[in-house]
Amino acid sequence: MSNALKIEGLSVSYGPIPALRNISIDVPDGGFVCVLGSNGAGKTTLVRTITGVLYLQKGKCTSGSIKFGDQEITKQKSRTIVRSGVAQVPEGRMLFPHLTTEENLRCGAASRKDVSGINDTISEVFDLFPQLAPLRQRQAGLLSGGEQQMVAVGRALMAKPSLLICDELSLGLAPLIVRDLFLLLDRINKEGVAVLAIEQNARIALQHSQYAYALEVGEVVLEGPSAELRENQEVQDLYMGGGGDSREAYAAIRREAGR
Amino acid sequence: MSDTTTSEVPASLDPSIRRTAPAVRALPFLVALASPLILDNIGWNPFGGWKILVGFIILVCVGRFAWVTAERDPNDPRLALKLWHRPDQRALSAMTCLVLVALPFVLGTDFDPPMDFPWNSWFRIINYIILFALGAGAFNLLAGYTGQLSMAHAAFLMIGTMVGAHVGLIWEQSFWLCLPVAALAGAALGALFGIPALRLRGLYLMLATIGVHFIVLLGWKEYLVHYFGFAGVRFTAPSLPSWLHWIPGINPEDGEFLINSQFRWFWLNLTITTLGLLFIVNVVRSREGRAFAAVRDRDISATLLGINVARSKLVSFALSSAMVSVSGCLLSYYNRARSEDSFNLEQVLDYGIIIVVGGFMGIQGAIFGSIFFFALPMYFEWMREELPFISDIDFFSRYAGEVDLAIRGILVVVVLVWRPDGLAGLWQSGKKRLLLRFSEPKAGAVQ
Repeated sequence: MSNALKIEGLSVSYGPIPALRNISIDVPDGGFVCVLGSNGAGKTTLVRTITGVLYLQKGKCTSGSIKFGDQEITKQKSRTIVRSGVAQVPEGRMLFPHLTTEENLRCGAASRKDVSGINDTISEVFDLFPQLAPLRQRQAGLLSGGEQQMVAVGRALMAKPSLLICDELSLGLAPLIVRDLFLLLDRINKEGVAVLAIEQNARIALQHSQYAYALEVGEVVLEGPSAELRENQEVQDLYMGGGGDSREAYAAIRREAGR
Repeated sequence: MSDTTTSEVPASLDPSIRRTAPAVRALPFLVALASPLILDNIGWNPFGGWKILVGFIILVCVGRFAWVTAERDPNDPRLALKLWHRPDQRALSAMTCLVLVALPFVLGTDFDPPMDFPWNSWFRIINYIILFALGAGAFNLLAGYTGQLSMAHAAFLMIGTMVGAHVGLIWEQSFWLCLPVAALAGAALGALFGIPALRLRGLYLMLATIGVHFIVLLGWKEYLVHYFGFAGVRFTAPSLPSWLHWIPGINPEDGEFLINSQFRWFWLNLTITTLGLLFIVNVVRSREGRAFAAVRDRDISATLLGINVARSKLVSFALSSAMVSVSGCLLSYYNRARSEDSFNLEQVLDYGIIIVVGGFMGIQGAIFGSIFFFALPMYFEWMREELPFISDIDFFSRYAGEVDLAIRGILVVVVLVWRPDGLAGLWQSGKKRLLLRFSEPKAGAVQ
């Protein structure tokens, strides 16, 4: 099986402070992969490195490579990366609050030039999110959190990506809405778009993904098929608030990773 | 009637309908543009002059109107991109056109209003309003749409004036050449002076652009001393090119038609401002314009979507500066005289007040703001001199200018507290309320 995204031995540091150490992550073509991790694990740095906006926080990629298909995208400009087919739903949605829903979607197609194709994709996005259709002329800043997240996903889809990266899709949303959004991700995934979900909410991420990585202080500490990880005692302790000594286990694993 | 339209697949969803390439679509326009030259060269031009071009433009407008008014799916994504796609918008713009066309004729009459209302001086004020609306609209494109607070506005007025003086007076070329040259110079320098915006934002960018203002001010003073002396520049009245003499109402004296009266300037200013503002409105609805708004709202998000943020900022600077320098050139020719202290930093604040009071978003803000800025002082002056009770108050006539400024200041505060989105916001909400009131009984009748 070929890989949509292949990260090999990636290390990133912000000045003298290392943020990611020797990370290797594979997303197969049309696969659904999630990356788990608590605060400070390096999830956001990982996404920034993939999408080429690391320079905004003065981070540097010190070693390793990121390949998208056959294309080397390490240290590329983000518009090149978007044009090659990687779209991102940024953390905290980051819509353009003064633009309407439809204009937000059109902004998502900034990397495309075909006018009629863009209009078709807009109709497709409204088919995927029928709730958004009556809100198309509404200012995006006035939508509810769940609707905003839908617009953010739709905006990413406007670029016609072959890989969709969702950074903290569940952030600040009600559990029911999170479930709906993940069901939609499943649907998008079935249509052939590979999905890389970066999540704190391990329970739902493991339910929907096929393969999972757990990130801790900049290193991959666990990986495996999601079904297996779901049964894994350690994962349950760490990310699902399981058994009594979860706090202790968590501290231990952080200590180990930090060394 | 709607039965057939709802069952059909909207054109936008039909994959068999593809738009033709832009080059092919531009072809008829290019042919129409070149047609007068081609026909003249063949030696057969039954319509004479440039009427064929004007006819073509009218045809295009009619076509656009037909497209917009045709019955179609309200969810067609192309619809929101069209100008005047709502009936109320169309009605309002038609009304505005009528008022604007009638205005100069009404003002030109010898009508003598009661209480010595300064009927004729309104012509000058209206010309200023039109000219400042263009400059304010361009300022709004940069500050309102792209979110780049720039204080280099007066600098580009100076650049436009310098280009106008140099091309028109020193090189003795036609006034009509000054405008495109001013636009080009403004665009080039605007992109150059916009470079700090790639690294700075907000107040820091404002301070950097104040620096630009003083650099250009130094250049303007040097220029004046070098070419014109301390007395300043005196501009000559532009004359209408001879190929436009067929327009009805134009009767050239000695083969020349000088634009030297308020009435004639009105038409010139109105044409250029309308074209400029239409250009802004169209830019804003284009891919480039949405990129401006995306950069203003969240530039990181814009980067992630593949928008070239640096390019967007520079393009916005270039477009805005080009239009400001055209308006600077026009203003100088309209004013007839420009001297060393014609452009101070206060002018930037004037434009700032215009767009903040008018409303930051949209072209309406620039228009309403200019009206507020010019019409009020004129009105105050008349009240102070003619109205009983008020004209008796000695204080007002002794501190005339200061009182005007103070009242204007109070009004600015009142408008902003009442409606933070300015007069344009007030207008929008008023219009919405009015539309609701008229549409409600209709909806009830249907039920």
